Amino acid sequence: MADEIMDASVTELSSPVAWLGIIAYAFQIYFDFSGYSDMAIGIGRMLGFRILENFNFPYISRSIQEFWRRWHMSLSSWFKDYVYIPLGGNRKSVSRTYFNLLIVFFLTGLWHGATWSFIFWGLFHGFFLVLERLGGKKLLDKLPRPFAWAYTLLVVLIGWVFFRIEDFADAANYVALMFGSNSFTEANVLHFLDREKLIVLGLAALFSTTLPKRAIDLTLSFLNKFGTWHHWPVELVKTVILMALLLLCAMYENADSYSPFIYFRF
Amino acid sequence: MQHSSKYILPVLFVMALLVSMFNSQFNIWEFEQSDENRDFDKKPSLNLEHADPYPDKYNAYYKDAFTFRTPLLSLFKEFKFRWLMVSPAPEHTMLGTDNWYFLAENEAEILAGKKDFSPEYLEEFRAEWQHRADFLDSLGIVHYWYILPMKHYVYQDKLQFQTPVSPRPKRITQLQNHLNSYFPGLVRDPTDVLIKARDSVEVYQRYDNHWNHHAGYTVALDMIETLKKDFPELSLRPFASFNWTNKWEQGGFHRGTLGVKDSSQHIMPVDTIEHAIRFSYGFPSTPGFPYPFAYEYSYRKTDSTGLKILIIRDSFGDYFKPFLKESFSESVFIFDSWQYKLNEEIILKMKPDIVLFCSLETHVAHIVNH
Repeated sequence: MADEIMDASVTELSSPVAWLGIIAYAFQIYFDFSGYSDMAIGIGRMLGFRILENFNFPYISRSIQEFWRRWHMSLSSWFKDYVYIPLGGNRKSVSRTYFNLLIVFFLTGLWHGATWSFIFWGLFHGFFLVLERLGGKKLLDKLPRPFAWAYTLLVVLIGWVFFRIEDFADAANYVALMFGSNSFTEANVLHFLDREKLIVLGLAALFSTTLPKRAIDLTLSFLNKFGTWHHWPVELVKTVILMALLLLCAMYENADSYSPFIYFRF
Repeated sequence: MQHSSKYILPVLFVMALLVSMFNSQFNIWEFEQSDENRDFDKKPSLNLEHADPYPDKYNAYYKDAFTFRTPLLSLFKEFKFRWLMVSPAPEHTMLGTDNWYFLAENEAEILAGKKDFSPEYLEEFRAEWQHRADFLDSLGIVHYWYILPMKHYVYQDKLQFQTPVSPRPKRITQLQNHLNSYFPGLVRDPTDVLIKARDSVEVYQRYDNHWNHHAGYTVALDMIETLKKDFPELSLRPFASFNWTNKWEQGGFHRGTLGVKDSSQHIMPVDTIEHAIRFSYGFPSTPGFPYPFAYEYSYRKTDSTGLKILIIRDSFGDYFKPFLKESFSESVFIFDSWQYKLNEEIILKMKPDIVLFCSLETHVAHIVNH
């Protein structure tokens, strides 16, 4: 769905469809990248290495500062250790700190690809980080949590448009469309949704939060009060769920090459 | 027990890999790869001097040859269609309402107006038809172009409400309007005739993109009525005069894509004693046509009008063939691999009185860019 919408010309989209596309893309890039990171962590552990987590529920962040403490943590810490701190970090003047931040995020954008869109994406995040340091963070802390969360998500989603759409002008048009400008068509958001996609979007939203993890932790701590008898059944349930997921993945991967020829018979 | 539980998952995972590997080698369980009707990728040979394409080719081969491909596909279809109630192959089949299923592919884009013809494209049609009309008129041959509608336009009310449908006139109407100013009456679109007929009987197959023999008869009747302007002696045998039989079948493109196993009943005409006799001119089939046996169907009938008709058709023609062949002294049905060419050689040899070009609206562009 993300690819279908984001690859389409803006003339074929409407504002709600543009929002749907970027939300779907936000989930796609998170679960794709986080999934790959988990595979590396798992394979590393099989070989005896303990690799640090790379993502920590970034979409629950309530500021861009927090977002970068939760998103692609290995890259953030590398830039912090090898660029930000050698540049002087926040040990020099305030203006130099802001400049260092913008340099780091300019390079973060460039690291993802040598296009204006990536550079803009990096500087866009850098700009909001500076803004938060200039006092925005204090304001965010005073705001009700949903507002701070909505602000962060809005900045992140707009940033993803420039990350996903290579051509800067196309990306700018897409953002304009999201906010109702040049709403060219009557393309209906329902054209892009069906039961399966709604389920996947719902699950993606749920698993982007800490709710499932907290529910499992609460259940286990409740069961722990009654001794250790539940360990084996819990392990069994976990195994069944994981094997079912493996089967599901195999089914989808296998179906990827399914290509029936229309003129089967006549 | 608690200690051993952490080994369950790796053991099951390794077992899943080993079972697939053993079955690939020894074929303990064999599954037919029957429902795709295409050539599956062959195992590539490794050439170390040109090794770059090997991984992709091997991946494609492995996906096609994976030992549990068929049961996994069945499970996938079951999961998507029965549980999630979505199409397992949305790029091929879209779900309608009341157990009606529609082709997605090009048809969905045509329906959404994404394949409308540009003015330049319409001009190409005009130029092509000018060429055809010049040739056919010089021989005194009556000709029409029947554009056979997609199921989507006859059963538009059975499409799901969110299916994109262009608010503009459909592209065939645009084409018909354009050509009408140069060749009045050339293009015939039986959509309305079929919509009227569906009030009393189903005219398309629910699980396939094709129409049925009821539609075939309805359109054959429309053709005869059209041709009566030039040949008033023409008539079509009444529907009831054909012998009909009920046939249960499991076929249908969408049955395959959706994984539906049950059958449905179709009414089929059976030739009677006085039916037209098949013969062959022996016209060579279009190169590369996957069904050369269907290229030429020629029939003669002694007790009729003395008129000869040539029909350039596609698979939809199978459904009006049994009726039309009974109304002419000679009828030739040519399936030229969806190219709908003028076929001058056939015309010069056969010398028909009438030529009908009958193309599914999906493929009309083949006339100018085949």
